[in-house]
Amino acid sequence: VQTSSKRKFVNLLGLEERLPQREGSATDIVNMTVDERTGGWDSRLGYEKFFSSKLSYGLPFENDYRTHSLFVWSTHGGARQYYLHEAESRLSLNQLDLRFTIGNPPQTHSLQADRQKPTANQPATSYVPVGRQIVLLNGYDMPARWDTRLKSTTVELQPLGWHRQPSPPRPWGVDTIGAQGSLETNMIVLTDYVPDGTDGVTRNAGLGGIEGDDENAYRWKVSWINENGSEGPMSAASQELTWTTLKSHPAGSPTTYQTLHEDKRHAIYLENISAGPLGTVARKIYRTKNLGSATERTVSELYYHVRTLKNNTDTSFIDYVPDSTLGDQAPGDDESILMPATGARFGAVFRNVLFIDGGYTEPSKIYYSAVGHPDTFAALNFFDVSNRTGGEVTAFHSFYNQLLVFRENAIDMVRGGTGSFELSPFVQGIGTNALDTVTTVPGVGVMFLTKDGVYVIKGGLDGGAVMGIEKMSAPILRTIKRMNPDVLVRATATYSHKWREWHCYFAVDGVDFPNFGIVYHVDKGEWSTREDFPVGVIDTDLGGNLIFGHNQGDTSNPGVLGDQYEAGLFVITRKPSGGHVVSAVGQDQVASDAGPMTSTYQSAWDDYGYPDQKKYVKYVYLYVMTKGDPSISLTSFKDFSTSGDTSAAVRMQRAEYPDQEVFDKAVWNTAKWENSLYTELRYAIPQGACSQFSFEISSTNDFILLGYAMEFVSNNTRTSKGKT
Amino acid sequence: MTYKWTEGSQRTNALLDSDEVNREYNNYKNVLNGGIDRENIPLNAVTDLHLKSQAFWSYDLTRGIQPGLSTGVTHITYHTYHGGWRTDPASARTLTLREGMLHVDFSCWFQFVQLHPANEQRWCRFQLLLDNSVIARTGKDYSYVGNVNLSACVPVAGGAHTVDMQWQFTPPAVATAASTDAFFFSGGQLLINNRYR
Repeated sequence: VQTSSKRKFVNLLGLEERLPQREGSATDIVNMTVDERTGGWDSRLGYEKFFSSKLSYGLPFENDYRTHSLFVWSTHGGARQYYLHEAESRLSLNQLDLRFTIGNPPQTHSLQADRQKPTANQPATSYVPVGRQIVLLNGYDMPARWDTRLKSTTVELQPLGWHRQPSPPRPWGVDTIGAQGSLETNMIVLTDYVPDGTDGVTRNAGLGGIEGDDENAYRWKVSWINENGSEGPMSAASQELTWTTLKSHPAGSPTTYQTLHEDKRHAIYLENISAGPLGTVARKIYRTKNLGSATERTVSELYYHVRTLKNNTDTSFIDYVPDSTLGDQAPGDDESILMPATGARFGAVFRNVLFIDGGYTEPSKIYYSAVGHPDTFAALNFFDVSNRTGGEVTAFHSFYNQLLVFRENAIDMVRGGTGSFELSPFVQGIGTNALDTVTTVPGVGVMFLTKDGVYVIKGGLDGGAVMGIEKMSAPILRTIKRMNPDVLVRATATYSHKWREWHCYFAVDGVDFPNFGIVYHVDKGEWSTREDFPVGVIDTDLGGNLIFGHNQGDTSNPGVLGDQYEAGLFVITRKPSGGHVVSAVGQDQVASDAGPMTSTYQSAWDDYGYPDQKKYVKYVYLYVMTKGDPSISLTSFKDFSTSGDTSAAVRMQRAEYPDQEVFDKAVWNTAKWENSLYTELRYAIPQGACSQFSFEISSTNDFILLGYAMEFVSNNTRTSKGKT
Repeated sequence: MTYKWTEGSQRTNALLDSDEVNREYNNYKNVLNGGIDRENIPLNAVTDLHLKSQAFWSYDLTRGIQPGLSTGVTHITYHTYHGGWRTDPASARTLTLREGMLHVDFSCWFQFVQLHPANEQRWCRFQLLLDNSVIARTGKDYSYVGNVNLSACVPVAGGAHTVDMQWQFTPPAVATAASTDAFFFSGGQLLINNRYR
């Protein structure tokens, strides 16, 4: 007895590698996206040159090997976007050229040509926008910041933080007897003065007492201020300047000089006020109040603001500011120290504070700057996570009201604000060093890749919200197991609001650079994979375009005709092209579009509810959108076999209606524009009996698959007795 | 504005799909209608010839500024001046500006009358103010006759703003008669140039 039946699936799900598979899921989805209008799986994608107007793939990327890092920095409301990237060049092996692109004419501008090339298992440069500047960290080169306004200067990258401190100023001595030793004389204040243009109040200018035999002592310090308003470490204190006020009518026969100096305050000449490093715009001078007698000292050695030299050139200053008009107390020596993490590898901004890691030498430390001053680090502004298991600090990511601190095998959180923070553990046993994969995905959470799959952190801790972590990659575990975990650190991911996809590329099958992609389709909540996209590093620009740097670049120069010849930056687009090949036009070698990429959809293995009973699949119907005359063939498989039977290719036109107009056949002024229509394509299946059935469509042609149906008959034939 | 890459494609024998064509066409049309910026416009594509006059700036010029809207050479006496900054009414300009930079340029000549007591050191100063905040100020000029040039370029928000010029010279010494002709300036020219952002 035969029974006929049919199975129909629409609203297709994504990849499912677990068995038995979910109904409507797929065994394989390669190089497909979700069509936003129909929700079907869409094959129309490829990648193209970043500078699409360039015929040749010559300048500016012609000498590039692998692109190691990429960051799209949008400024001016998107009118200016800096596509910052680092590439290794055949002209300077083992060094990376940090640069950004310029649109017209297509070119790049180098910011630093000799940056350290990371090994395959070290992170590439981390880019952290801080206001109008961007901070660059890679663990080897000096942490730097770049301000786009400094493009015309010779040194465009400036060091992050302070790497040296000023030397103390040297006060000239007070000379009350006219000795003028070393030709260093000094000044006395003849009369009290009324500052010009103010309230007319008389002030006592000058330093020191005016009573004879007053003992006077002072010290000075200096600090630098940079263009960010950050105040650097304080210099050491100057040598102590002491003198005794000359008494009136000293014994003997006072000289005219001595008479003039009786009971007078002094103005002190300070020299050796050192100029600061590049970016210094001012120096601050601090001084103690009169410390008095060295033996009976009652005044603390506290420093107060005297004046700010609003330049970086003056080397001297005359101090006649009396103690009564000194300014604020100087910051403590521990409030701004030399850059504590000169080998920082990555960072993040959280609540206007820059967080950086301690680098390879202090991998369990986290340093954070003063609020609003990324160059200022206080001595005690750090956390050390080494007292809890979880391994080194590997990445930061700001998320709602906390800074997520990723470690090799744990995730901690920094909470707090206005410069007061606390570190607390969030989860143990899950961690990652793939810092470039940590991505905030709207409506989903913070997604990141680990050695055992993709996780998401959701929610928060404020206002009653609950924070949790979930594994997302269960349906693609077989794919995840292909990963080379030793180079996980160079995995790369980004979210595109234009495609509504989270793209993640990593190394598989033992290769040491990213060569395979997984894509999470937010609208479906499902996975697919990407093959043959040479993504070494990826980011999204303001428009949601997926920009990527080539994972190897081109090693042959000049290119060989017909070879794939690619280097530099590319964009994942709707272009039916898998990059570019070298072709000849006259004397020139140009980059022609390579052929379209192959997209593959293989249905889930379907046992029609009862695998033990044999089925005879007669027809498969594909629900597609009409695409014209390009045809699609269908291959059917039975019982997990890898070889199948291919049915005759079918054009993507409606079966019972006249053909819709297509390019290259339509006649100008006669043909009308068409709409892509929903239709069914029927394929006859020549296979015999099977327990499980699957089909595959794989093509370089455009197609949108919305669903499918299968007609089959079954009889009472059962699976044979098991083999012994 | 980002670059525009392929949004749709027309392939051999593919459907004459209007949506596909529109998507690609509008991709570029959108740029022309609101998305042109330095990233996607060719170098030197726009020159001075293409710009409408005053498309990016406006100016205001006041000439012949001298004390108190006087005409001819009318010296200031200590009947009317005893020191301090004095706003010159002729130079007070209230303008509706657009956000951008404001370049203010003032020049004039001045003269002291040489009828002052001996040994008196006389000086004059001039300053420019934007909304009552000083944006440029000369030092004290101790010469009897001289020229003044003041320039300042400051960022300015959109809206009504006032630019003033103020002057100041030595207050009378004890022995100076109040009716003494003291100081005069003339030929004042105030140029205010608003460069739009």
